[in-house]
Amino acid sequence: MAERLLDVRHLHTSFFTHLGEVKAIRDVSFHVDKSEIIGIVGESGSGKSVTSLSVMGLLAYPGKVTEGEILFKGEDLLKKKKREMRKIQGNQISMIFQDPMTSLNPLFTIGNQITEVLHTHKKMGKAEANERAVEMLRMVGIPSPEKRVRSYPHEFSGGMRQRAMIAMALSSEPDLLIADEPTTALDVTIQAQVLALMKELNERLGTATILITHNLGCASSICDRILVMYGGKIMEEGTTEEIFYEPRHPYTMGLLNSVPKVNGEQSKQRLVPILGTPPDMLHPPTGCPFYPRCKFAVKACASMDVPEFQLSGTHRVSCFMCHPDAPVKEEYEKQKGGIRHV
Amino acid sequence: MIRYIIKRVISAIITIWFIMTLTFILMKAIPGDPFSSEKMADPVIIENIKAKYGLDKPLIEQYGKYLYDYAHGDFGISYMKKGLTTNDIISSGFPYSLRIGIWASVLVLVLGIFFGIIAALRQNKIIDRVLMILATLGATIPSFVFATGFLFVFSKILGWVPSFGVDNWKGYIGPVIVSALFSLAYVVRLMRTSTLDVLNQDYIRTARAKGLPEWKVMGKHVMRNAILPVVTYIGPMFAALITGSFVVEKVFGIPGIGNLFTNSILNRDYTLIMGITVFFAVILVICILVVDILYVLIDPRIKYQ
Repeated sequence: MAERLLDVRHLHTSFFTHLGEVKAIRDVSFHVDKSEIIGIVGESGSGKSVTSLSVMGLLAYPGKVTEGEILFKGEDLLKKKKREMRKIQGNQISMIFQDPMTSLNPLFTIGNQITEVLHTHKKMGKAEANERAVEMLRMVGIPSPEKRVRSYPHEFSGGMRQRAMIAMALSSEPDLLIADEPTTALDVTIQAQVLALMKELNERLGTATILITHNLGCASSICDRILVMYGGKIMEEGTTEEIFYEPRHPYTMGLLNSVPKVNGEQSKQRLVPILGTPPDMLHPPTGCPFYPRCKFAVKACASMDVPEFQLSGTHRVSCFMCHPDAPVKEEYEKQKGGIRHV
Repeated sequence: MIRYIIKRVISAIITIWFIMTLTFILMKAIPGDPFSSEKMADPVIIENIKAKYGLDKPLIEQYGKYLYDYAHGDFGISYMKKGLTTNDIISSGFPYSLRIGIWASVLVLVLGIFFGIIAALRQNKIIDRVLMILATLGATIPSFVFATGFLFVFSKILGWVPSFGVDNWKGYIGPVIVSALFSLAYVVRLMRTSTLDVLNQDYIRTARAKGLPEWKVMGKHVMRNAILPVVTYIGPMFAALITGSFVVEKVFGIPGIGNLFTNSILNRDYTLIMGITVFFAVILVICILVVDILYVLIDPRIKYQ
């Protein structure tokens, strides 16, 4: 069995706003093994970014983890002091963000912002850090890195900036990289390049990666396992194959139906949207957060907390449709094939 | 960079020429002259005086001489203060104003930036509220109130500072503080706003995600970005502070240039008005030029070309 790197257990994170407590994440558990890539997929407001910020210890006021454990190499990050966390941030766990245009400080050179990490965490001298920065830029595929290391962020294109962000994040050789929507702000072709780069670096350096995205396609292209989040809860977790070919949660099915198909007969069909809107997290529905939009909802969905059904060693689903006594619905059965069903 | 500076200097010279011309036209356009209020009935005497100062020549010739003299640093002789040149008068008053202005600027920058950051970091806490109330007071209460209040407390009641003049360094305390207050209030607000803005930027989150120590996040990533709007303000502020304030100089009895300027206007001392106006304009243009160059050095996004 692979070594456990990160183990998040029953995490609850809330934002204490003047309107009341917004429960952004409710009882989220997942793990990341060494060197694997997992994807966290969900629409806006599903809690995927909050999950990553909670792990990083970067929740800004008024956000707070209210319950749970985040075990990183067996140690609970939530029990660490700020100073101890700083030794982990950027060193053992690195993070890259959605918008590379605004995530780099405009007043400092790319090189400066990379070497800063090395000075802080690796106690490297100037020359050594600079050399390493050049090497990192070369590794992420930036042409003539000796020159580019002295460039400012505004002299880079969006894709190059995200590459520079990745170089910065990986320069300290972290065990875990959290990529929060790293390709959302990029062109589609650049998206593919950045994802390919992340996959390549994962294979080369063995850095475990959490890819947070709202795009199932992105996740499928590089992830070993996928978590589907909705309304602050994990709806379904499985290997990429399980999620795509054996989805069991109606929300996952809905997401798959809303992905455009590019070839064959399917490409001529209209996309099927998921009707309704995401839940108001200030007053989240009891029971399953998805039931108001769910075609297969039964009474229990609205009133009871949905238990998790373990379907295989890697596949778990929070849906009553997976209960042995659940009513058989033809349409649900039909969609069990995932993207194969159509 | 050199090319940029040369370009900016040329445009500064054009600006100054423009101001000089405008001043000249305005001075000539106002009805009356410095001697119209003199009790000299004899038109011959007035003609003679005008001839002495060259006021009888055609305007274009006067303008040419004015530009020529100014280009050579000669601001002409005062009409009202017998035997004194404008240069003498400016150089007698300016050192006082300059000294007060420099110290006031230092006070504004050090305290303004410091308290601005403190207020931002403690946003909506008591210290922030108190600072913002003080900043509002500083910006709204006129300086003569502060000046007289200061003299009342520190000179009359406590007797710590002289009530008049600048014979020793203690005399400067009041003028420096009172001159600084308005700008200080402004800089505190400006710094608070820009710090709050920067703190919410994505790159600050990146800096924290890198696990940098807090002093580095604040001192490097936040400060350098937050200070940009303040840098823009420094130019005009410094120019305004070193050119003296009439009110402050009057209340504290300082023979500074602000006082001189107001008197020259009241006396219709044409050459002195023009001399001081152009002098102020040159100071302002230089300050702005320096700030622009400073800005390029701080912010790489600004292109020199």
